[in-house]
Amino acid sequence: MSQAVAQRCADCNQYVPVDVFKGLCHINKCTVQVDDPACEECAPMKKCKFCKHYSPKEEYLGLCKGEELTYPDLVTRTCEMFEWRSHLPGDRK
Amino acid sequence: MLDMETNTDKPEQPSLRLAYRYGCVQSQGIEHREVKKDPFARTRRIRDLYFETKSSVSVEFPYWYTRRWNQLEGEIPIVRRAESLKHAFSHLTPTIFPGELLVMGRTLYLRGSYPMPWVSQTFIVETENRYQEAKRRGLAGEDVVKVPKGGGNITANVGNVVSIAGKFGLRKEEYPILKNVTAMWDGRSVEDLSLKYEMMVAGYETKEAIMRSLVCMYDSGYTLPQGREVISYYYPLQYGIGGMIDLCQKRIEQVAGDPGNDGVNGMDRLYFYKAAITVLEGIKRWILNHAAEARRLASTETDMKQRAEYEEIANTLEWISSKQPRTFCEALQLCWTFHMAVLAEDSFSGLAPGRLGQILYPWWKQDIENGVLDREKTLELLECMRMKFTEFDLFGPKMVIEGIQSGSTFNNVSLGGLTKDGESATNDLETLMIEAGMTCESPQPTMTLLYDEKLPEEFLLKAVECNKTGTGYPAWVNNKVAMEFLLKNFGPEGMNVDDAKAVAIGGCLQTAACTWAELSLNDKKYVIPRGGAAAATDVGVHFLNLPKILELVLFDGVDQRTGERVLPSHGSKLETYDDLWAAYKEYFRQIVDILIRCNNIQHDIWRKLTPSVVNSMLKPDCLEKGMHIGMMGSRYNRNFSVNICGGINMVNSLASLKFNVYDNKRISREELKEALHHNFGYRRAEEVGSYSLLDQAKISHNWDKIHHLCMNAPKYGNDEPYADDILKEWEQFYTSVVQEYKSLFAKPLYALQLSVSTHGPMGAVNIATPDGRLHGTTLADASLSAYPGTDLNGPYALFNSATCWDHSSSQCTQMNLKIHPSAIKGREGSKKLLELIRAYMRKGGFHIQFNIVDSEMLRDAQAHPEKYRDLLVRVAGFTHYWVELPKPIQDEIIARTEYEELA
Repeated sequence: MSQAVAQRCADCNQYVPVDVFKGLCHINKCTVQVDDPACEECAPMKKCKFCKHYSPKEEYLGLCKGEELTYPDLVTRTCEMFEWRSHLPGDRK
Repeated sequence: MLDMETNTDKPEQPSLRLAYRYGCVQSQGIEHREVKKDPFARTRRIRDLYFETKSSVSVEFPYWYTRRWNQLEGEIPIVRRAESLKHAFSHLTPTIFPGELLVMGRTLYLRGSYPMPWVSQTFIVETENRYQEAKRRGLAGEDVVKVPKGGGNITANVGNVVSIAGKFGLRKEEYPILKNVTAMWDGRSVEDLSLKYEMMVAGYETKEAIMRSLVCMYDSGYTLPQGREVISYYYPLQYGIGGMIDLCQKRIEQVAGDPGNDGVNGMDRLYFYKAAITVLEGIKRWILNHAAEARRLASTETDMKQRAEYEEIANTLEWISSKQPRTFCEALQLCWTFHMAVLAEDSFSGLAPGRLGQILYPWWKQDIENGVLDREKTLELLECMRMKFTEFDLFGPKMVIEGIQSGSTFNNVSLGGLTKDGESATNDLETLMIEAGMTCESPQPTMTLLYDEKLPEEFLLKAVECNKTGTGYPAWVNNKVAMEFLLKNFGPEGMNVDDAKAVAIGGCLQTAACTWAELSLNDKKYVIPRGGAAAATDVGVHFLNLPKILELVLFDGVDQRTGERVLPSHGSKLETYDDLWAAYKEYFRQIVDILIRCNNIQHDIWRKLTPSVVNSMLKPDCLEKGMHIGMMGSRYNRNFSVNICGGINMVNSLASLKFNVYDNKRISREELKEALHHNFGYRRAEEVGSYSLLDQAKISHNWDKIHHLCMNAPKYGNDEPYADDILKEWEQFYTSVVQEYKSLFAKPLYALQLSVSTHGPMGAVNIATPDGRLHGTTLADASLSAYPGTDLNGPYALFNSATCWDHSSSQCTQMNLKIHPSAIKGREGSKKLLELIRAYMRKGGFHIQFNIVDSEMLRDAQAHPEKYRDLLVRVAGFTHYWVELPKPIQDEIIARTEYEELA
């Protein structure tokens, strides 16, 4: 597991997205907003921005393995190439 | 008829001879619907969550699809497309919501959709250039299409959410990638390539003028190229995904390198089977990803009951990822999965499950007999199914999604009808489906009952009870008339009476060609409906604004709203009614001719660029032939139509012209045109914000006399030959003339008559009409409903008018009635309604459906939408949440004649 830490609920692996505003917390069984700050029980969800093959390009855009255009919040639970990156700028402990 | 002078004595009163009520109810506040039932607690929680959910767009599918597409430059097109679909299916984020018994959805969101820029980019990301181009082509609809702010619609940017296509929300973090992905399809989408070649059609400029004036509503080839049809679940249900892959593999061994007897398309069979295998592998991965997600959730779930359900979901998904389903639950899950898979491949509106209760009956019967399932658990599963069908959206241009569909997705379950042997086809599972429609009121799936005299009385009364919930389903369709249409239309392609009995309804109420199949399940054999055996039933020329064509006739080809010339001068002085009618017919022909030529190009580009793989491999006989639906792999291929809107306003207007101008010479044609120009002295609908004749503002009395004459001219719906003969003449012309034009499959077109929501925007662009209707107000709904307030002689008189011609010469017709709940109270009331339905069917009526509602409730809902989030109404072939309907449609439903007695 990486040192990547979810910054907000939508980055958490326990987050079940309902719509573009909110989701359900699988652990606490409550409705949370996308941009609510992540809680202590949060573990990061696999997303491009947490992958070691991801490099940022411009706001909300990046590259996968330096070639394919992608975006940081793309959920990559199903991506066979995903690998946790070891460090993220601005990661929380 | 009122005396004209009487009216002029009261110049302050609008001269409207309308009766918005038939009968007499003593008003004692709002009368609620008689039947009201509750869902299971589980379903209620899911539905409550749905009510709080907004329409959300995910970029995942288009992202992964486009990424793979770009990697495969040079590959055979259908294989390239299949690989792209597989890549998208394989990478969708699996989401499972607590309490669900059926899982998988369109996107990771509960209420989700996504754009398909390979079909059309317009309105995905509204760049100025594309917007201007859309406007030039008449697709913008900005000034006539209203998107309601209620329910799940996101009509403006909110915080970190961007509103796109006027209705959907997208996370701002995903906006740049959507913009980039969309741009990748510039010049190579179906829309863009169609335009390039459409412009080579002689007289193409006229086509654009037709679209700009909204004489025609939309181009189907790059907006909704598939749909309004019945899916076939048979192959997955009989063979499982693994069996289908094996079947395709065997066919590859047979056809690779062998053209068969077809020197043009024979070699393509190899690529089709390869594409089918590829997509099936993607669907399998998609299912297994959800199974893995269910296991993941189970592993951390603290509620033991919920944990067990996650594990059961995983077991079900793992089994159906390759094998034939063993239980009703597995079969239902597999059907739902393939339903979603078909919808995923295209901009697809109106995929009907068909006779689902008859298709799944073998599993259900065996489960009941084996004690695996009981009726209570069945009902709960069916409620969950209703929510799954309700949750997803279709993304598309505002003109299409709101202007035509009001956001509906049209998944129609057919009930009843006949077996292959000619007996009643209904069963206990269908009764439970109706019950689920009552306990879990929701817009999807809607239901249609295929009425036949052989159906049991109790089953019919059960359907009437469901009608009394006010949900508007089931609609009632005449099985005999539907079969007659099918045999006329598909007889030349080999359809026989037995196959005609397999009929089901696709989309709103389109008669769809289907067939039967033998099913083996646990060593027992059954004959079940195999489902749709033809592609989209409702593609071609859509929708023609009939009163607008009359406006063009009266004003010699010039649109009076925009001042633009749409058609060349007809050159007639219109001195007689026959001149007028001849000019109308000539304009109608010109319009159909140019539109179908352009439309054929669009659909040809569609079948070449983005051929159907998922729908095709299910559809009889594509897999047998090795040909997708675009190559006429379907058993039946006469599936293109000319669809109309506003027919009753056109008929009433012709009646008014004939009566007032030509036969009785009460006013001159020029006087009438002047009155139309001045909207009979009223403000325009847009100015007053009211879209029916109920609530309008008069600013001049100069045209009272003419308006009075127009309103009092003979009207359709009263069993009066003067207007009805005009309807009959129109129908005879329309249903025959469209057959003179051919689809890209070189088959004749057919007539198709329903309005969906088009009577809103199409009314918005029409100036006042000679029947007395005012500028911008909504047209008459459906195709045979009376214009609101003009059916004065009761429902049976309306039925006589509606059936003055042969309905089996049209693919469908549509009739809506609004009935006050008090008119059909109790079991006697139910029987009264059933007798009314029977009377219409016996007269040869094709379709009828009901809004059982007190108009006062609708007025209250319009004033206090916050109290009515769950209120459902029937529009025109679909049921929808009141709060998500645009005001022009709401106003029209309120104005519809309310029948307070049925005599």
